[in-house]
Amino acid sequence: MRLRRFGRALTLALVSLPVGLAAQPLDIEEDLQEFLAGALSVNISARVVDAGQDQPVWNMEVSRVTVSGRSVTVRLDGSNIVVIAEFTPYWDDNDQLVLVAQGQTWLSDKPQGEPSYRTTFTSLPIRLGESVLFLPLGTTEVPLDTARLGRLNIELEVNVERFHS
Amino acid sequence: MSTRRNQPPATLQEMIDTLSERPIDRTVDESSVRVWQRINTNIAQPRRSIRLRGGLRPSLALSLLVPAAMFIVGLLIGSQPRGFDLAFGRDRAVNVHVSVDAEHTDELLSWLNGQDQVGQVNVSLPDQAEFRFQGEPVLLRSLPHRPEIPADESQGTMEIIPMEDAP
Repeated sequence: MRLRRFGRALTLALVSLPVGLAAQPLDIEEDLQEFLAGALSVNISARVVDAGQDQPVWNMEVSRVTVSGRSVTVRLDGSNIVVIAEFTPYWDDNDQLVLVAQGQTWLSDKPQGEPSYRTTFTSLPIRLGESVLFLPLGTTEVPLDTARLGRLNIELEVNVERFHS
Repeated sequence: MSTRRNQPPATLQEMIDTLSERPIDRTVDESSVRVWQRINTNIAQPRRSIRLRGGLRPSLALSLLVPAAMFIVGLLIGSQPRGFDLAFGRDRAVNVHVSVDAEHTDELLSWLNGQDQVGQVNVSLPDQAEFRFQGEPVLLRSLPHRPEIPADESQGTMEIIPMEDAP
């Protein structure tokens, strides 16, 4: 008799916990809104520039939605070059971010030569909407004149904004 | 016969002792000792079943209290963080953490990106373009606006952020 009563009590207790949990509204919509409120839009403009021309030789723009800590990666494939640029935004404070940028570049000067490889990274605080320019091939010109005469250069302009659905 | 008549109380006492199989208190002191032994024994070994004022047995009361407690715990857990905040009178701003695991985050981001690939964007550069390293990879950013610098002098001023070699 006591064993049966104990069994009933245990069963009722085990049933009561999930019932108590289910009694609260899940607020999925509210959670989704919170998720979207922290989402970020990473806008990347890739350009090939030449010093002899005012306009970029080639350009394209891409935008990706991500969240803090999730990277957006751009891979550029050319005839003698491969660039993989990875941008990871992190929320730091209100309207302040830390952007971690990592670049990997394989470049072959000669058709049959060994490709040279460089991998670099840095992190910097940025404001929402502030543009930064990543030059995977570097530059020798300061201030900004990223292309030397007769040589093409690659620019990746990045800015991060709040995602608005 | 005369012997029996002379000792009737003793014979009767023996019969009672034999029938009840327990000693009869012969003196007040012995009786007192036995009573206290029983009391001590009962205190040391509490009864297995007692009744509450309302007539409920503890096992029945526990049968009702434990599920009720579990239900309340479920309510509190289910309403976190607001439930605990209300319970403990906290009204400060709370950083809401949405629990979305890695798999569902990717799915959600894929949906937000219009089903495009989330992690990597592949771009083909013009075929005829030949590239060479022109220096060390760098990041450039505009310097913050400073009112003391005339606008025509501050335009185009860029800060060069050297990049470190990745391990």
